[in-house]
Amino acid sequence: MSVEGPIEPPLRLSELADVDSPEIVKAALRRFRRRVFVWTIWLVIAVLAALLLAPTFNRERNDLRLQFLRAPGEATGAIIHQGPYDATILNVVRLNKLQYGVHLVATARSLEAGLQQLVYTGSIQDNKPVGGFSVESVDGRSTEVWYLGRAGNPVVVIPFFVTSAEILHKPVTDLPALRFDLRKIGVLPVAPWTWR
Amino acid sequence: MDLEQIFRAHQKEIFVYFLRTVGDRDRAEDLAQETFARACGSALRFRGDSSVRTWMFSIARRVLVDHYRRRSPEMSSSLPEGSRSTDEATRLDVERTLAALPIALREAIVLCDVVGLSPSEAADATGLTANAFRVRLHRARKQFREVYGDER
Repeated sequence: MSVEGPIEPPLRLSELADVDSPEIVKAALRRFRRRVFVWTIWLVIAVLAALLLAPTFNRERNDLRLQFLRAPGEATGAIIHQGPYDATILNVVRLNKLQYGVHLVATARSLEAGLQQLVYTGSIQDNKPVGGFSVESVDGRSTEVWYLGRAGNPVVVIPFFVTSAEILHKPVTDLPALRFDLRKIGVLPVAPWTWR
Repeated sequence: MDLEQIFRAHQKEIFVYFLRTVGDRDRAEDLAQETFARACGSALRFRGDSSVRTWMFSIARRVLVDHYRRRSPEMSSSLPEGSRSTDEATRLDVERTLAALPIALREAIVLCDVVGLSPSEAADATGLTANAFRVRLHRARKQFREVYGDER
């Protein structure tokens, strides 16, 4: 629709603008300052809350065990006998595009219980770190390992050493690395999507 | 010119805009305050693409839209206050006629015929194209005449 010709105002409506205006600007500025104050208070509260919660959030995010729990994967239960080790693969999970994870318990058969302890060195395969790791000693002979692997490489290499029970992290004896191939686990095969 | 001076220059017409669209003095005052409070917050984002007057009215219009979202537009058609004309009866008829128009048409008349914005300024303030606003204004004036004729 278009309009032709001049549009005439119906009456002298401009007279309706002839009113006394109250004082508005000062009140508006007060309202704005009050709003800024309230927003500032909320912002401070939000920042403080973030500062308080951030360590917890980061701790959870960096905790490899929690990442494993949340990631899609397969519980295998496969047992591997290799060299001096018995290793039970509990879970293989896909962590992200670049990493997969293996949760296992490794036991060294030849260690003297109570005197020596199996310790995961934390070295990542090929000396190319792909992320963190986490270990937890189950008892003198077994160590629970949350291992990070690089996607596409199904070969898991986990170096261990043996230390005395009293002085942890001080190597006493080197052991051969626990090495296995996720493609060849056999008894309970690991789905390729978890590590590819 | 500081912000307060700019606001003062537009204080009355913004107040009149609300007074003649919502028809209640207290509410008009409150909405005008809200307009200037919001203008304080968005003053840094004002790039000068339009005139300050158009910018102020575009904020006022958003305030009005928000106001109507919260409450029914029908509530606003009460008789406006603030009469001071010598011909009181005629003025009351005019105010009553204006209050009887649908809000969009009332707003078009208030912007152009009461406050005195040009149709292109009013189009900018309402976010309509110039032609769409002219059509609305034409329709508003036509309906005003019809209703005013019936009133008399």
